[in-house]
Amino acid sequence: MTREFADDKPIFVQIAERIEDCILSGAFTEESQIPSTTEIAVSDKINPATALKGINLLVEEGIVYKRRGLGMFVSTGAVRKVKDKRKEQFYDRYIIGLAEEAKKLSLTKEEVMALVERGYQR
Amino acid sequence: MFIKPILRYQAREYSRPFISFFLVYSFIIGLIVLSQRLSPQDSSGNVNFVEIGSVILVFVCGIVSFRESFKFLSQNGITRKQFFVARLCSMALLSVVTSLFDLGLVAIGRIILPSAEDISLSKIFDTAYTPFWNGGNTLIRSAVYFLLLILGHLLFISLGFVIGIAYYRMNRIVKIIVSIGVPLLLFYGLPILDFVFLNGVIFRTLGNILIAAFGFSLPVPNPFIAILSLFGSTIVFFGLAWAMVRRVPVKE
Amino acid sequence: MNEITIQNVTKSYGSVLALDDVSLSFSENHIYGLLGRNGAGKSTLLNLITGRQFADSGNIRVDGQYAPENPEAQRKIFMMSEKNLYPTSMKVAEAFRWTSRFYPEFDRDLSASLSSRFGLDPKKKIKSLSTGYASIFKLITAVATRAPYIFLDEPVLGLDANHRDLFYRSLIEQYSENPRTYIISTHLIEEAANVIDQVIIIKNGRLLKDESRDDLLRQGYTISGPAASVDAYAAGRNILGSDTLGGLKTAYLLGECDASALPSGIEISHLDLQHLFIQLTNA
Repeated sequence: MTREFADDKPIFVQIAERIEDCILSGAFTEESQIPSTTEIAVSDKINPATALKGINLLVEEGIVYKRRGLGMFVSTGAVRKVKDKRKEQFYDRYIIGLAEEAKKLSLTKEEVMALVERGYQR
Repeated sequence: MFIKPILRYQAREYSRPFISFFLVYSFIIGLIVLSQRLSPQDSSGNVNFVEIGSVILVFVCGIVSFRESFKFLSQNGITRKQFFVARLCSMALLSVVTSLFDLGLVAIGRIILPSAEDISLSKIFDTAYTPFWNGGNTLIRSAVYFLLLILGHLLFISLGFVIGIAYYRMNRIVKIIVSIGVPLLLFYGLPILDFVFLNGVIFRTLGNILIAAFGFSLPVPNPFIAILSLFGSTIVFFGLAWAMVRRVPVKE
Repeated sequence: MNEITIQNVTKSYGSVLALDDVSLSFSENHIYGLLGRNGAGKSTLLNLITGRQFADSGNIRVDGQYAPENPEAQRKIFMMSEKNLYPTSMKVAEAFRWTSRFYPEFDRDLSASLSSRFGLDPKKKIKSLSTGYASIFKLITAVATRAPYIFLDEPVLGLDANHRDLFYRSLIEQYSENPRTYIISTHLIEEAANVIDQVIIIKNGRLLKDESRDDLLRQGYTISGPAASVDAYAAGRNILGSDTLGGLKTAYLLGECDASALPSGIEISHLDLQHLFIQLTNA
């Protein structure tokens, strides 16, 4: 899951989001094990404490949990939780930016809606 | 004080020059034996100051005892004090080994060249101190002679050591000035000054000091005075070395 | 009390003041980034802790013990220096062997496996190694000592991109398995930025910043957009510095971002360490 980090969010948040992405895509299924802090730290070349902080974010939200001596696992119902959370964030993360960009380009609301329609057709 | 591995490393540093030295000498002795075999009638040649080789060896070893060793050991978290204490031990060890080598060399020389004139250093000192022992215990006499040899070697090591440290501490310009200036002064300046203006006072005094230091100025030359002088001057050199090492920075 | 403490340390070379009354501490099991421009005093600081040079004044302690010329304190530290202090004729394998005698925790298996991962030939003489491989050799030695405090002075000097990548991965791997204190002194920040968790910035021999990386980065933000709007917003705020590219201006600001006062058309982003460092240490 090595990728370049974006500047606009702290790295530990980005780590958490990547794991969520993997859960949504089905790469990490519920009750399956996720990579360890060390594995994440080594593959992304980040401090293990940062990786741990990212995973702890998911632990707090009940998306992953720790099995003593074994490692971290995806909770049952995690896909739902991530979806719910992402839906809440959808407006902030995508719609505001979308509207701003559309205004910059002088796209009308109707034109934007048509584009959204086209996106769905793909 | 965690000296053992340091001592082991430093002893290892000396082993290479000593082994080369040993091989060269063995080769020379081999040649002598061979030439004797080829012409048994001819037993010319002398056992002539044979110990001078190991004196040169230990002096050179003393000079190169600082720079590389100090840098490498500093890299490995060894303090100056640890370095210095281990260095003293390794130098003592080298003196013992080279002294044994000298004894062996003289003995071999006397065996393979029995009829040759023996003017080895041992013979000279032996002859000089004979009245002192007046018969006496040969075991003690040999022990004292061996100690004398060790201390003599240690003195030259310590002298070389001081020179090596001094060179390490000098910057390039001073190094060049000293390298040219000191030999010039020693081999030209001083003799000219002495013989032209001072009527040889300096060299005469130096000679007298040396004679007194070895106890030769007494009616019965005393080897213990020699031991004391050698030991004392070695201590002075090592003291000087420590003063120069104590706060010396690791140059990068 | 497992930490290295430096109190009011001053060091000058002739008339040049290399360190000016520096006080800070390195605590256990962190990866420190010791940052500063060339000649800022980074190496001097490390040389004083390891006793390679002596401070003019001040106090340096390792785990509570006075450090310079103290064998017990010094055995807890291994410093990989930029310069090579190894003897001319020494081979890589010999150096590993001797180092393992001075640092009894030295991991011979690790030095062997890292050597093969990096393609370092143990039979080669150290002096014959290229700059990159000399750095690799010294890095492997340092990591393998398993000393509680490992100093890496300019560790990636001469390493190509693949080897730098491998180095940081190996470092994180070792750090995860055997946590200890690493101090990475460098002016090449970008790749180290995510690896370190504590930042110390030295400028002209003085301590400028000493805090966790996250705290440091939280203190500021970057805005960019049309120069006029950026200037309007930035006026009266704590500006670290700015770059201009035609009509586009990027300003680096300290403090909290006031989103309500932000004119439209301006983008905000987090400070990154590299930019923060450049802005802090400029001139």
